[in-house]
Amino acid sequence: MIQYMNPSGHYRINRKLKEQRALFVANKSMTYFFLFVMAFIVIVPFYWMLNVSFQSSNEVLNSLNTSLFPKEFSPQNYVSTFLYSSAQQGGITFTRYLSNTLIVAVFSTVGGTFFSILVAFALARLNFKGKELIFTILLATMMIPGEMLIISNYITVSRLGWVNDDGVGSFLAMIIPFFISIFHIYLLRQTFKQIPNELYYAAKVDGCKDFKYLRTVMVPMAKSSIITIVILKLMGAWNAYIWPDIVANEKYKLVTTWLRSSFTDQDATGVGRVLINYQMAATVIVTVPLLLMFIFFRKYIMSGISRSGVKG
Amino acid sequence: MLENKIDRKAWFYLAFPLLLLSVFTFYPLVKTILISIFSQYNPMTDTFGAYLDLAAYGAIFNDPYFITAIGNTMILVFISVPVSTGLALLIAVALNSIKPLQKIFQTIFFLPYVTNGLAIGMVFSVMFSHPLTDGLMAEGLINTLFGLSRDWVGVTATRSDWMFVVLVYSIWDGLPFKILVFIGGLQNISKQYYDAAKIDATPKRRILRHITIPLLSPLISYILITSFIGAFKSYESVLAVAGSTGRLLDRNRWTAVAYVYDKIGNVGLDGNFVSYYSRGAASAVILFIIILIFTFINLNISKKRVHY
Amino acid sequence: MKKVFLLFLALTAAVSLAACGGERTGNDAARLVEWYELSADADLDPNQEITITFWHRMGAQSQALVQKWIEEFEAVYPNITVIEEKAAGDYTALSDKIALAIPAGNQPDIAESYPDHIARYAAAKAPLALNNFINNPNIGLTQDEIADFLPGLWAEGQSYDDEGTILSLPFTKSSEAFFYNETYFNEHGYSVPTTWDEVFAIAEDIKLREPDSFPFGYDSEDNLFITGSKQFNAPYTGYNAETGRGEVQFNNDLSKDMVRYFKDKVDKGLMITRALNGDAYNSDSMKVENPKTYMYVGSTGGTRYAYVGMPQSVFDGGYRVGVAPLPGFTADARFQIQQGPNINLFKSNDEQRMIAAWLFAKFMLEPERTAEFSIPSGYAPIRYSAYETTRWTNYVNSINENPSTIDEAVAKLVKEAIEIFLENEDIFFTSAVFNQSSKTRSEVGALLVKILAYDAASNAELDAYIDEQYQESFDFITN
Repeated sequence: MIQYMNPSGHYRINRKLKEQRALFVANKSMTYFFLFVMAFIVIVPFYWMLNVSFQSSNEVLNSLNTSLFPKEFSPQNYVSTFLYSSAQQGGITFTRYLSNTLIVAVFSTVGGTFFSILVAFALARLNFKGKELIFTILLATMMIPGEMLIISNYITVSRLGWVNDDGVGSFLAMIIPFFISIFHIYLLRQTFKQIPNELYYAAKVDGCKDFKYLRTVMVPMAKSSIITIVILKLMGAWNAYIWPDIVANEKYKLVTTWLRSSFTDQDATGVGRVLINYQMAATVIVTVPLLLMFIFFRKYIMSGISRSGVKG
Repeated sequence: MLENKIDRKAWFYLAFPLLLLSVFTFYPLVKTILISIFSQYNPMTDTFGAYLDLAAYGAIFNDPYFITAIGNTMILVFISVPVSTGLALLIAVALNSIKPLQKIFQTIFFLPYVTNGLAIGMVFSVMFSHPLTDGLMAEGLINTLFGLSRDWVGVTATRSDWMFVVLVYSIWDGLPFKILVFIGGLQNISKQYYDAAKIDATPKRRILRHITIPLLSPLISYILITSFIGAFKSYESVLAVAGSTGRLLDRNRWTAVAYVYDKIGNVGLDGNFVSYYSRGAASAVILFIIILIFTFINLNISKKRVHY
Repeated sequence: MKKVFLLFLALTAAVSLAACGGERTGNDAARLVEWYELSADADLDPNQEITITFWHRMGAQSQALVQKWIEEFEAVYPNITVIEEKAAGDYTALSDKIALAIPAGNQPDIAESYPDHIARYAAAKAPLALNNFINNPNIGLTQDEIADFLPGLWAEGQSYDDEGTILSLPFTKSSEAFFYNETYFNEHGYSVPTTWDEVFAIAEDIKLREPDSFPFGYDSEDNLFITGSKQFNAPYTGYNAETGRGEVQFNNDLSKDMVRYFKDKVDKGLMITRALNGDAYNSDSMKVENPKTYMYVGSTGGTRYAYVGMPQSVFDGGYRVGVAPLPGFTADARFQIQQGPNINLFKSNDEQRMIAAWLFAKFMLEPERTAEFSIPSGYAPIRYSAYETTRWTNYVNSINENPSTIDEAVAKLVKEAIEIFLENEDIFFTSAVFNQSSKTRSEVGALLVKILAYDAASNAELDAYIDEQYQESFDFITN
């Protein structure tokens, strides 16, 4: 500020401050404008889901219709959806699909997260022969298109007796094959690597065992990434379709099956048109818990790592 | 000295996950490679057949649609990933810098991740639709807004048109996850750094370049590498946007994975007595090699640029 | 990593040296699947407990019916337990699931299927050839019973090779039909067309009156190509004289003429298809306040949509729909495609299981039952005697010939669409089924759309385009 101390010093400072404030406001407005535009773009499909879900069956069965707003506002769709789908799926109700999905989601998330933490810790912090090789091989498993895995895994899973099993086997088949995800392990490894080595060595010097260190220091510090992974895994289980549909017995299928095959026009021969208004209502019903979960967990993700352990 | 200690118990941490991965991911990969070199593999009986040679590879390199597919995939990868990542970074930074409405925006930007694919496909087709015959249906939203009459994704669409729509979709689809990761990372960056920068009246752009990005580099590298790998495997996105309803994707619009899926869905032998399935496996292996090489390059660049 | 890469290179070199293994062949036998040898005195062993599985994709209504049939069947054969399962939501998913189950060894004993699926299963020789079961003196079908099946439908079960191997039985059938605005036709004195030329003569007349309309619509382009080929006598797919296997044959001039015929009509604005109309159904353009279409060819599976979803005011204004078989190229060259699922059996190590499965299949196809299945679902019964059962005649009598509500009109139209099967048994045809048949089908549909959508400046340019696209499609399928 020394350069501004001249006879007309005050005047200059005011101008600079005014400029800064104007820049600040301009910056903020541009930021807001940018965010509003992006938000609008992002929200359109969601709006469309709601739009179609409130249209009446008559509107929807006319394939020439693409109205931006329901002509016959039908909130009763949200109730009819449940009744309709039971008629399509025989004895399997929505609650059944829901509970199946919750079981799969909870187990794959808890188990998957637990193992992700262990593997990420090993890759980030521990020293062992072949660490780089293992990491590369793990990455390589991401490079195969899904369909090629399905065929081999189906045979494996079937040899284990889990396919189409009227019992626990169906759940095992849906959960076990894909619950280790290098995609999540990698994220966690990056986060773990950012936690300074000093903490680790200090703990070691104090005689702290690795696992205790992991549990008491690293996990709390990496909380935001771990929660991100939990959300991603939950969503993955929630949206999984192809694999569960193939291996599970009809009574154990998931909510995604419910979404896709319960809304064909019942009265039509065999392959009728899909009642997309019910299907969209069903989609909204299924999406809302995910949104709520995000809103609930949001502040944990955003809380970040506390850096209280290290000075400077 | 502690740095050099070998942790044998690392294997305890790794044993069970590695076992699962070997059975359910590694073994199928090896099997795919084997299938690609047994060129009369029969998927219905799971037998390898008598011919051990590279005929399947020869067949796909002679197939113009394979080359097209790889080309389409490359365009998709090299445009959508950098743009999506850059955009996500900007949005995350912008989100981080505002106080009011922040929570609402964060929720909104997460919406594409929870919006069901069925709905999205519908939206895109409504927005970009174009009636091939005049007079019956109205033009889609985009055409109406801009007063155009283009066939964006229909039968007569040009490559640049449908590729554009696919890119828009891919970029849009990839945003929420990236934004989520970046926001998490931004929160980690200690306020100390930003405060110091503010005292020095550092302009925003310099803050971005010299503080934010380096501190976020582990996450940026993660996002780039995983997004590139994911983009090489693009298929559903193209199918949803540029496929015709109820029909398969036009073969000029195939991505590498679309090619693989088409081939493994066919039964029996092709005109040269090579099993279609083996051809599919061969193309999957080629794709795998491309991704592997590319990821290596990426990892090497990361080693230099990433600061933990 | 370098080591792995070098290893891979070495392997590649070694393998390519070892290659060039002489003649590559396909090893095709004359019969797609060898006929299972069932001895003449084979019969069900009443003392052996047998369990068989039936995979399908029916909705709850039809599934409940099957469950009732199972109870009836198990009463007759107490040692057999039948387990039915809705294995998938649609036919493609069902076929995929079975295709996965076969190499793993968990395929069902009976499944709903389409002919193309069976070509796939046959790559593992999994489907059961039924010839010896049908001819078996104890448990087979009598000549009269075989003749009772609608001939076109029965023939579909033999479309897999040139030797008459029967790999599937018709279950319930649908087809396409010509739907027209009966009220409008009566108003303007049009008679129901029997040939394409008649259709377009009517269309031209309508076009004069309503220049913005597209008087005739055809929903499915795939079917248009295949049906058109059959009617114009243009080869589409057929059996190779040497190998006895199906092959692709559509790359010929007759076929191109057929396409040119329809292209001409599309260019004149007389005709439209779904793909050219934003994938909208033609019925939706016909049943509105200001119709743009007055006649269309659509699936009988979608008969109800000729009315459902329409504004009540238009219905009250007298809108009624009539249905007729498809027009032909000439009045005697009327052919139309048959659709709808079949059932097929799978080979098993236990002969008793196969016998039990066969008995259940036979049970489901008895006239009473096929009538019972059809009535609520709108499919057509597959046997003549089904149309004479009390159940069926009661159904027919319950239809109101002068419908006053939309539901009654739908019921009447559905009945009429089904009766097309009864009254026109020899117009139904099937195409050869082989490895590439399903790929060929979707490919010719896409080919047709491309040609119809093409904007040519001159006839010569159009011809060149057609030749080029045909060749590309043909090469794609056969390579």
